[in-house]
Amino acid sequence: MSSQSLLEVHDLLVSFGGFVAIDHVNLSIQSGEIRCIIGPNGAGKTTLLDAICGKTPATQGSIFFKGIRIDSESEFKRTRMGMGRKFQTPSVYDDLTVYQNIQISVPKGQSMLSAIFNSDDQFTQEIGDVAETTNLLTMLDVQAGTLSHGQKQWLEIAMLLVQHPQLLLLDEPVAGMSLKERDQTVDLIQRISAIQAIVVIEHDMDFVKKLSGNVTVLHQGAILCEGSIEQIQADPRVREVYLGD
Amino acid sequence: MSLEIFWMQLFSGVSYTAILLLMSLGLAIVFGLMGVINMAHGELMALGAYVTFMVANVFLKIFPHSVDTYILFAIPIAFLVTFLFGMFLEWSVVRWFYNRPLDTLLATWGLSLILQQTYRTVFGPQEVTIPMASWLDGAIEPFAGVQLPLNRIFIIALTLLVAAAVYLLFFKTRMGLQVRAITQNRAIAETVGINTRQVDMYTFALGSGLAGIAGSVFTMIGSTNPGTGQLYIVDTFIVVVFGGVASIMGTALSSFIIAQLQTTFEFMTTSSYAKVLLMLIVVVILYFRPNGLFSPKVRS
Amino acid sequence: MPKDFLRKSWWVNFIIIFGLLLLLPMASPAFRVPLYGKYLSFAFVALGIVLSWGYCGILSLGQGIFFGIGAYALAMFLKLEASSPELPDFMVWSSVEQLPLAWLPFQSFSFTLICIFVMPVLVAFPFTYLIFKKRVSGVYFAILTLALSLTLTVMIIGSQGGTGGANGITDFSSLLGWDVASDEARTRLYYMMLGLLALCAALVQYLVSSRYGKVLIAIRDREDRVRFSGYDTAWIKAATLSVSCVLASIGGAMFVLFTGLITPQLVGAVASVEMIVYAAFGGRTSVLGAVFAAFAIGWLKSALSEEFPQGWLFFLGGLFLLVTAVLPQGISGLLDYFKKRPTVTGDSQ
Repeated sequence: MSSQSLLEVHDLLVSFGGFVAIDHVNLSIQSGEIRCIIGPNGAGKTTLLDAICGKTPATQGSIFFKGIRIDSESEFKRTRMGMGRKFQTPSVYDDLTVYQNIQISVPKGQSMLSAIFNSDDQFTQEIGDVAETTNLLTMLDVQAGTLSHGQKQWLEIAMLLVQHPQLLLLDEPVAGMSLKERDQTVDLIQRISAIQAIVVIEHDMDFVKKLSGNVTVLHQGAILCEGSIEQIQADPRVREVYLGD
Repeated sequence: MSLEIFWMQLFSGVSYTAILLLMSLGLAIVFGLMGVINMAHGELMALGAYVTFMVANVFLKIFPHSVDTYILFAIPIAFLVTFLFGMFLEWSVVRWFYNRPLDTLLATWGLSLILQQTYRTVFGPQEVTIPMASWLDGAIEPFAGVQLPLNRIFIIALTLLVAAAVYLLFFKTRMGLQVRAITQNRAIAETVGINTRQVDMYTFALGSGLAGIAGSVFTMIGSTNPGTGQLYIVDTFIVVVFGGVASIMGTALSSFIIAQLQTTFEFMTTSSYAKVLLMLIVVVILYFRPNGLFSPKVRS
Repeated sequence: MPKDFLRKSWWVNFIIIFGLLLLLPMASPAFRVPLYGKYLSFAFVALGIVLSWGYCGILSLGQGIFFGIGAYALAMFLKLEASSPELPDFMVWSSVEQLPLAWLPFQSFSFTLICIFVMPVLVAFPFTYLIFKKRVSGVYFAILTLALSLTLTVMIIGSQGGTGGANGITDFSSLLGWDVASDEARTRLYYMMLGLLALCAALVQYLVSSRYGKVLIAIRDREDRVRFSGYDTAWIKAATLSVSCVLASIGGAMFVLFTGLITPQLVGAVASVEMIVYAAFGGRTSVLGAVFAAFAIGWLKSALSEEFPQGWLFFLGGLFLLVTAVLPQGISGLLDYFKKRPTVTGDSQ
């Protein structure tokens, strides 16, 4: 086990009463890396992310984050350790404004006492910065429920960014976005990858290409192959799994 | 503990199981398959009981010679009346709350209050006496010293019949298939042409009808008054929640476990301590299995 | 100071409502004032429910338990004071020879106060924290609390010698030497209670206007996301519910002061569910709505019992249907609608 890797997944097995969703997966993510996870539907991509961030317990195997074993920790502890998870369907607080959504996510104010006694304006600078990074600076007072689908995705990313995570897990960040929004998201991810490692689940091959990170292909819960996007696209096994050759 | 007492305790447990199962089956179907928490379930049972009372009186007045057979007519009539009433309730109140379980809980609680007061106004606040059919009076004595009351045997037999009928309905008929499809994925069920509105209505009606049967049968072992429904509702919910709302089998097993525990505790201590002990056990087990004892593990 | 808390419109309504309540005794015969006090004791409970249910989404059908803790604690103290140096009458009737161990500490007023304010937390927090950690969700939790309140009633009724059984505890006359039974005394108590209620209302409003209130709303609407923002939501929920339970307990103590009585019916399942409707009717997220609704429903209950006793259950049942089907935001939502102000869930008056 190398202490250089940010995230290490060893021999991970996740099964639901007999059905094996993740089949002895080994994964290693370095700091500042962009990794795309692709694979046909039902391959286990979301479940893999669920296991890493703590939403689903691992049946067997171990997960190390920053050298520390985390597979028995609860989600909020993993979050506080520096992991951020974005869900497949945008998961924002519809009834609060964009500003309030991000405000809640600020780590410093998370103890109850702090939440009760701190003033509203304490973290304005930070919130503004993060909103700017995610193209939402002009929308701070808008109720989150009224944002477009793409903007909600950005808001969710903003809520993660304000926590200064070292590892971001993004599940289909551009699903449902317009072409222009997709390009903006590519920029966004490349901007933020300077500081943190990002694991992205995606179906859109153009998007994956533009991100130009390493790619891991998942199939039926196991890793099929890994490499650059060109290597993946040339691999006959990948073709078979996607196109049924 | 002597052998006779052992057999009678066992029988007590089994007959209480039957009672719990009969009460809970309707609720389990509605709660488990539709996610509807019907706090008025107890009042539907009371409706079955009052219908039975009225049928008994009709027989007394019009067919005095056949009075002993009234129960055989009362049960199906109670089922029919509560079935239809359930359909009406579903159409008028319940269907507006399908995605809001907590609101359903409160709304049906309100319904139960209204029904209770209706019974009080129509039938009076005292209990109504319902004659016992003479062929169900008394007990059989398979061994010396072991007395098994006939009415309880009748209840056990009826429960088995009803449970079998429900099983056949859900697993061998087309309608049952539709219900199971909707439970698993409502949206897809709709797209393949299943009329979910109609199935919802009939399922709720069925749950109500089963409550009616339970209420009708309970006239043989308990008194009927406007508060009867309230007596049973919490026990019934515990059985359903404890068993895991995903399965009818779970409800059956849960009835058995809770019934046995309750009768054993009652044998050992007073009735109120028995209840408290039971609650403690239920809470502890729910802590370890929050979805109920027999629910399958699913990806959330 | 949270911006929302200093909002003028809320304070205007606050002054109107508490002003009216303050002037009420002057416009009514003295014997009615204890009744008003009784209605308002449920306002404390309703405030707690606004916090835990309206804002945090936790439906507890067991607030009667905590109402009972506060009520029985104070009742025990008052009973001991009224009957000392002899045993309370119901114990004599049940052939109890000696004061039960559990009663001994209630000879002290400080202990009684601690019981009212602290015991709800000791009872509620550990239990609900463990349960929330296990992700026991809305409906299951509600049914669990319902069953627990029923169990408590059974226990109380079953211990005739220790708790007065089904008849409850009654017949007290003084608190620390001050008269609490006469109408004049209760009118004085009314003003004191009103002050306490105003304080609690302002406190709850402060909580829900602060960032903490926003976190509660977030937990209500999307708890898993809040966990992924780094919050221990089980802890926050348990803490919020505990505050709610303390408020219920205070309400119970107030109730005993104004009615001179506590019975197991008032702490059981039926009473607990009824307490929900006070908050729902006022508007689940409206602090002032809770105060108004508790008073209004209490008043209607008395009026109906006098004129049309059969009607109370019909009315209450209808109220449940009303607030779930037609008026989910309660009276305050209705007012917002007429003032054409958008009701952001969580920002009602």
